[in-house]
Amino acid sequence: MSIVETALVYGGIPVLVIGVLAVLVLGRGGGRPPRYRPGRPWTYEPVWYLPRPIEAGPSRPALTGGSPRAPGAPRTRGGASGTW
Amino acid sequence: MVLGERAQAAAGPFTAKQLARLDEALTLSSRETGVQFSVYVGELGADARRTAVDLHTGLGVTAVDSVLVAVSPGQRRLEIVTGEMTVTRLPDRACALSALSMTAAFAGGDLVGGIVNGLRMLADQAGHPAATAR
Repeated sequence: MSIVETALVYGGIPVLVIGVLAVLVLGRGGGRPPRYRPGRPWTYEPVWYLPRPIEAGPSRPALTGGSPRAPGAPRTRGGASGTW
Repeated sequence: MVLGERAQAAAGPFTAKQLARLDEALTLSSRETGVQFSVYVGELGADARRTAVDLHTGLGVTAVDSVLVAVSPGQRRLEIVTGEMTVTRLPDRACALSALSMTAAFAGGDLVGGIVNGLRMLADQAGHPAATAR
């Protein structure tokens, strides 16, 4: 083998393989957001997801009524908290 | 790296498939139960509970009939807030159980899976509106 052939086989092929792998890894990361890992900082804007409204039927209340409690009065709420 | 960050900022935290799962779970559980479920994903600040309650209040007149699931992945905090009307259908014990299930999934890195399963548990517990009315 000549020097050029040797360089191509032992240098060119590994570089090509590394290039293909790099494209596969980096190309995938650009298309979709990375998987969440606990402990990593969360850099996204806050988002609030609501259910789709029901298309059919009136959404307005049938009767008009006052507010059930004076505004500012404490409301009973429940729920739960969790950490991980 | 820069390319990845740019795509990340534009696309948000979830893929289209994950968003579809989330949307389906939210819509189905809300229609099944008559309770308006909503999911907030983002920073909750130093007093996470207060922020979550404020967000719930921000829902306005529908707040009494809603359940807010607030997730802060950066702080590793989860808050479930039930309204005045929903607290009878979803007692705190039921919320704690589904919170436990959600945090277990979150600890494994599965945000959407945890939220979807948690919503399903909450909806199962809340039941059908006709069955619990009066």
